[in-house]
Amino acid sequence: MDETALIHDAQRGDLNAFNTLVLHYQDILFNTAMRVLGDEEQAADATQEAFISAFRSITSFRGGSFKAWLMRTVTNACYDELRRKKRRPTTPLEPEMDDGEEVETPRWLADPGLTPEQAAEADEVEHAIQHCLENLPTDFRTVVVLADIQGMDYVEVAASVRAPLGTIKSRLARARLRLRECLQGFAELLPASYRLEGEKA
Amino acid sequence: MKTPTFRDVELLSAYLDGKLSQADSARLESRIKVEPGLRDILDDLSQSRALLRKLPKRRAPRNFTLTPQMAGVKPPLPRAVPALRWATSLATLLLFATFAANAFAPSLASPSYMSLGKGGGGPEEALVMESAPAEPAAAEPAATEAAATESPELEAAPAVTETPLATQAPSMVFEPTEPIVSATEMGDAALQPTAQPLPTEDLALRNADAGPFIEPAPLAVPLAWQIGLLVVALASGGLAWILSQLADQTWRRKVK
Repeated sequence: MDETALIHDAQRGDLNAFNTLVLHYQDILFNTAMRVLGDEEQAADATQEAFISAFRSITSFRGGSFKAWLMRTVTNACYDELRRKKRRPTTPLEPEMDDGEEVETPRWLADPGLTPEQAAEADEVEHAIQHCLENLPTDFRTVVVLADIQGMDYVEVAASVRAPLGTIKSRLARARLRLRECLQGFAELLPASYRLEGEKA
Repeated sequence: MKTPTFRDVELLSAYLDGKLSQADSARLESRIKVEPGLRDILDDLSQSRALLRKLPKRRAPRNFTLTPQMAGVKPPLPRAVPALRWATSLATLLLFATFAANAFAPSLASPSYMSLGKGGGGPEEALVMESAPAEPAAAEPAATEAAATESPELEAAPAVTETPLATQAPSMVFEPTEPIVSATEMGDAALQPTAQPLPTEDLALRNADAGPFIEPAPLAVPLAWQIGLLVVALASGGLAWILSQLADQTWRRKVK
């Protein structure tokens, strides 16, 4: 696939060329949306929106990493979905204290009423990780999904979320640290080779 | 034992991804050897990252390729369509302008009528001017009648009466002085009865002669022009619509 030629054609309004790019990138974009949103239906909506938006603004692409550029559109679409979700809340993403302040620690996620057996029934490790991911602040979650799940380079992540490199490093470190804390609550679900320090001790 | 700071966590996270410079990496490695806290955090971060990387990749549940409708793509229009649309807009605009001109400025009609060489002023004035040539003919019988009766009322229309009197009865040239004197003695009141019959007579004549000019004032913009503009607007608009529909159908067939 000659990506540059396809992008060039798409910029001239060639929908078929753009659809070739869509077929190439749709899994990556959907997977990213899925990990950020945690809901398949919403992820599909966000992915579709991202491609529509990408086609409409493809003339603004001035080179560089096309993947990073597409990731930015899907990240924006995910933020829009999350905002919509907030307007029609079901369960708050962050618990609130009596004074309305959000509780930042993810430890509340280790639901005391959720036994390891029950958690194992709910698709085991994947669900546990997704659970911890969903309860990271959105900015942290996006960065950790792009860097650790999609395996993107720091520079690409920075381009995708339009943040300086230093911010990306900091967010990634915090996100990994919080995930570690959260995952300790699901230690028994984790494969032996991935047991965390707390479990090993 | 030194407690690791968040700055240490950031360095360890970057180290894990190979994003530290050689010098920074060497410095951190030497610290890790002597600080077990740093080693523990590095292990935790490494395990978290490994777990995330092991997550199964979700495949797209369907294709997200765009249809022309989704992309908001419109078929390329024939070159004539924009021109036809302009023509439609222009003709419509002019049509409304003609309606406005006819509705709000009916007086525009008269000056254009007058400019053909039939006088100036308002519509009523125009009518008077039109009937003016009939006046001598109308006044003549009145004048002869008045001259025959030698009535002082003749003085009310001196301009009209002088000539006929002079031609018809040269012997009576000096006679009118008396009635003139008597008329002036009588004052303005004597003029009143004479002034009235003449205009009524005159008006009757005017009405008879000026029949065609008392029609409603002509329109500022003729009806034919309006019809023409309407036809242009409808024809160009319809043609533009047909051409764009045809282009759309052809394009859809191609895209499918």
